[in-house]
Amino acid sequence: MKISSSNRLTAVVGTSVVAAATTGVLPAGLLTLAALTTVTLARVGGLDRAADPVLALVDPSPVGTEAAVRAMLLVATAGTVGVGLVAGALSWFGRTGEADGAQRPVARGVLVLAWVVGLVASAGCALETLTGGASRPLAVAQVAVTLLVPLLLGTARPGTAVPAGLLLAGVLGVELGTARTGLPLVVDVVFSIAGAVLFGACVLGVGVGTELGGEAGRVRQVAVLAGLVTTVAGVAQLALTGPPAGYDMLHTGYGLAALAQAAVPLLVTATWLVTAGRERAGELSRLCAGGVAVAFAAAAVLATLPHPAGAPVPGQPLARPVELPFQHLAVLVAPMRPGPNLVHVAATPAGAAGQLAGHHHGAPQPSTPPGTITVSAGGAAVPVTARPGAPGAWAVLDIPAGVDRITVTADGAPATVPVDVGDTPADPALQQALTGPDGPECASGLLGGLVAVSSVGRPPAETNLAAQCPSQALTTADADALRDTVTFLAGRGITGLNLVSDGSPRGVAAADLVRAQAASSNLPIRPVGAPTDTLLVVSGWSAAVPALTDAVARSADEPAGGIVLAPWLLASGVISAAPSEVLPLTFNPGESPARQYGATVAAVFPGEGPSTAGYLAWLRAGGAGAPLEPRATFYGAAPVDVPMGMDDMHMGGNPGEWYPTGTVVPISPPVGPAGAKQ
Amino acid sequence: MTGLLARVKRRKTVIAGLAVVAVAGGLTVLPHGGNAYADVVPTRSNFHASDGKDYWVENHLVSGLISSQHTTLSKSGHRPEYLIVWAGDSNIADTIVPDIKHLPGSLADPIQKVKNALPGPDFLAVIDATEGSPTYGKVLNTGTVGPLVENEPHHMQYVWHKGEKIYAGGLFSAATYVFDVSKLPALSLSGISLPSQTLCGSVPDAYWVLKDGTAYGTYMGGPVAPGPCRYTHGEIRSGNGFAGTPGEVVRFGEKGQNLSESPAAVATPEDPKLCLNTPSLQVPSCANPHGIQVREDLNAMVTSDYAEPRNIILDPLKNPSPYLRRPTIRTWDISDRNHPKVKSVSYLPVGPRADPKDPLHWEDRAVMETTVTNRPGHKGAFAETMQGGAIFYTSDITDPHPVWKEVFDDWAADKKFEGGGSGPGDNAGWVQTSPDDKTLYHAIVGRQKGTLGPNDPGTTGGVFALDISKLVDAGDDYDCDIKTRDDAINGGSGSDCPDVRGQDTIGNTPAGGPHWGALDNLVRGDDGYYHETDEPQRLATANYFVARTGLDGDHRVCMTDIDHDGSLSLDTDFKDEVTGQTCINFNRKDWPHGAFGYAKPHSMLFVVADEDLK
Repeated sequence: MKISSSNRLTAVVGTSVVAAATTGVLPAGLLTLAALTTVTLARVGGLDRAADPVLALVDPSPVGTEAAVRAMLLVATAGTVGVGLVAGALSWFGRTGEADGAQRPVARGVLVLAWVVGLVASAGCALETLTGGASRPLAVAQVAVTLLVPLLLGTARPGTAVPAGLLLAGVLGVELGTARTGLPLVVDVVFSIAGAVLFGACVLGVGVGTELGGEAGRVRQVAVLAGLVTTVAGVAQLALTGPPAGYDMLHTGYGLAALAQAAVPLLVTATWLVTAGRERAGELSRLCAGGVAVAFAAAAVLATLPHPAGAPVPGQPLARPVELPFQHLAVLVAPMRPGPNLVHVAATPAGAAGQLAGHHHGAPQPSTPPGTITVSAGGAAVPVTARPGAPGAWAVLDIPAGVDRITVTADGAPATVPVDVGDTPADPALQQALTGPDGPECASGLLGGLVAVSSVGRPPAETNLAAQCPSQALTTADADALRDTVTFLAGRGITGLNLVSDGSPRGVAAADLVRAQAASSNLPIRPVGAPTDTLLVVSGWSAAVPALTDAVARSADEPAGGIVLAPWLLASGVISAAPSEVLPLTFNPGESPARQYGATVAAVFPGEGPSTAGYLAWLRAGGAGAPLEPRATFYGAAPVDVPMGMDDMHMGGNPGEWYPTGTVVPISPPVGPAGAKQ
Repeated sequence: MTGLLARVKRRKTVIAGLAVVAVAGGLTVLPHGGNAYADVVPTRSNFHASDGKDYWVENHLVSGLISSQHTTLSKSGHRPEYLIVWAGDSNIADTIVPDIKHLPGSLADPIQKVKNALPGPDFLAVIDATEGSPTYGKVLNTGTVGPLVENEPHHMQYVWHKGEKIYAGGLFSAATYVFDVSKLPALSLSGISLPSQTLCGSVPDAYWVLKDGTAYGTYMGGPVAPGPCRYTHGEIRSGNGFAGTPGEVVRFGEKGQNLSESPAAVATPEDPKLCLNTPSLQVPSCANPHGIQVREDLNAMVTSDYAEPRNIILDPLKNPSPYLRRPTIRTWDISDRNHPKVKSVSYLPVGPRADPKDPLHWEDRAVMETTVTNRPGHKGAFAETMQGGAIFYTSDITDPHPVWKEVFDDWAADKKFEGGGSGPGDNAGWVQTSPDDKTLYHAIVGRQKGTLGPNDPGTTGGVFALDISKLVDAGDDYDCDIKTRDDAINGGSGSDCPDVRGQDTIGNTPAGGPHWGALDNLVRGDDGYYHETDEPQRLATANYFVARTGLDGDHRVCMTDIDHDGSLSLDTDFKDEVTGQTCINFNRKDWPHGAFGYAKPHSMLFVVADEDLK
């Protein structure tokens, strides 16, 4: 038989496909494709959202339309791949046996379906391009390959669609797998390729029904085999990256999507197994095709959804993102014991994730959630409120033993946060410190510890993060720093000290120490307000802010003798209350590890800034950083931001910086005995 | 027959297998761009600083490019010239999304932005500036500094001469780095001054290197702690703290050691209205020195006061006071190099277009830069204002009471930029006399939308050149004085007023122009070596100010050719090695030191290795 010139190319390719299909090269090729796709993704790196607990806390701000387009594109591409591979291969198997190797034509219904999914996938590519998410050349190439599949299926040699299907399968694996790295990446690639084959088998069942004749058994074999592989991949993905808390499986979009990716292929495979020779098999296979589409949609959307944070553990602080219709909240609950718990809420408007720490073009993130936010543990709703010197909003919520969730309501929209306070009562001193005026400083420490253990991959439960709040005691290092500070100031010839303290154990001890040291240095301590004296603040954050505000107000009329803050007052909400302060510190906030901590905590908790408590907890929990200096060095903290004269031009600072609109730099050699040696 | 069929079948099998593997293999190639910096081996130069810690610059030499440059240049007997750019890590770096992320269906990735929010190192970029070199415009080395990050790299000296170290400041770290560039393209760290070594000042800005290799640096902000500060020679001035007022001038040794600190404030009060201080000072002062230039032959130095460099928006509902932008210039007696003394404090005239309702844009607002004349017979100096958008001149900086007059309003040149422009609020920056005192070069960022009101569309920027020869040659008898609005818009009517010789629009968006520039004072001689020239033939500009202020620019470094008639034109051969477009874009994902993403280039210098300069 004479082969027309227009069919020469397809004939050659089709011959190759024949050989491939009949000798097992096709399955081997699929495996090779999966392996190489995985290698490709591994080389360029994926997002791996679920693998990093810190990043899991970050607002991914899924855009509804973006997720919908991605789902549409991947489902339609999977359909195109599946039909191309399965229908193309079957056409070859159904070849007539004539000398020219004529292949069984693809049924009209299948062809129509192939065109439909191909065109839908092409529309998805176009949308991705129009919205700026994809490069035009890559999109055009994908559209070309996508439309090639139904085009070739409609020729006299439908088997030639198989190579195009293989190529498109690789693209599908790449696109689905960009959200993963490591083993989850391999699993997603296997899922995408096996799932596409399953999809194709189901579509064949829908489109041709009895037309397959003797090939029906082969379709079923393909479907069952591909279904089993897809099911294993889906279940493996659920085990690897599913929500850590069972609650989240059924109560979060991520959990439901992960469940769908695992369970639906199982149901589809079971359906194929039990429908052999049954009546209404066509309808069931149609249902199967819909099921596979749902599974692919779930897998596609999964990567755009926030991964639920870790499960609540009694006695351990819990930090979780909470998605509401118009804003993304971050919630911290501690000490996670029965009774009063501190709840810290921070917020950004939904979709504002692009305005992250380090993005200099963005306006400062709101440090206080807009609108009205309340929290409740089944009882009365407690409003969250601002605290002096602290970012975000705060509430003390009584959580009885046995309560497994609290409700956060913002502007009428509720969201649930799972909790587990256990039965063991909290340490009274810890609970008092956390739920008292120094709670925000303690919470800042807890966040520092949490992001550190997450960064190094340690479960929070292995590190007793909530052992003690900073305000419960004056540490030896802080005592040394204060002692050296007073001695240093006395040596600088200042006229006296205005001392600001509070009633916390640390504040009382610090004030006693300062008085004793001042007395030994003949340095008078006078009531706050003496104009030429130096203001020394050893209280917690909440008492420090009004003291600084008063000092600033006084300085407008009269020169001040300067402001010195205790080491634990290095927090942006505190130091920004005055134009200039000096602090004795045992670490340099300008060095890389301290900045890394600040950037990380700000990314995890919107509007949250670094603090001494947080950085020390970060170090204790294994976060990156140099050892603390044995003696403190004085650091100057001040705003540095040449005003340009227009409010809307003044872009503000980065909440991840120690002083978002200023700087903190060393202004002395180390003080005290150790420093004196240098 | 059966054997033949079997052979055909085996061959087809092999072909099919190869086809599948080829298709799959092609996929692995498609999205991967390779790493041009795979051969970079970091080498670190340490300096043991006064705080007992090691500070460093770490070289990331791109050996492949350097080898290519060397091979080509050596064949033609040429030697390399470099553009050294002091740049900060931008921490945006969302370009670190691999190409694969641009596939349809891939995810726009906020997570990646979080990863890239982590601080990266600031660095000196060493760019090949040798015309005709195969690596012209390519980054041959990045010298990253550590352990301090986010220094906010700012200024270096204005021009580099043979044998000089490079002095480079960090606006936020308050540190001054001293780099050795004698073995370019490799760098080493000669020293560092930490803020604890300069207690009477903060916020370092600009530097001037003296003939003995030491340098003066302006520290724009006040003493690191509020209250009285005793300077090296016993003067005492009371300040309102870090980034406040008054600033100082520090003299540095070549290892960054503090040789002396000298007060920029005089002992007597300055104008309390024009010199607002927050918190208030008993002795009000405008002393926030920014620009600095020196005439050693005249034992004279000039500094210009810019602004109290702290954000004083304690009440966010109020605009910062316009009186925080300074209108003053100081001349200094530097007969004792180690003890500069303020000789005069001059208030610039407000100008003819000053609107009483808008003091922020009076011509005298924010005297950012000053530049001296250079020829032995000339004693004058120029100054420019950032918010005011005007240029001032005095004919004798040795006069105890120099008279400063407005001699040019930027408006007359800004209007010639593509899209047009005007003087007020044009965010003028770098200003520099040519070594022969014939031309004055000036960089303009341009004005943001809405600066002068809701309907203000903003203006573009660029660089322009003024003919100042008649003005400078007139000595004390010059008659240029901008007194009318018409003079402001069209140029002064005085016979010796500067004329626009050329302009080059850089950045086609409002406020998209350059803040800084540098003249190429080096020219290749017939002997193959570089020599200093009085007539530079090109200049470089950088489109970045300080991101935190909202004046961020597009982070490009451009080269502008200077023709013999003074006209300016963009060097289209100075192309970005990544994008292929004119100008070097510091918004790129990969650097020799790693995938740290966007960077902010603030200032630059033309430099050659010692062995290549005569």
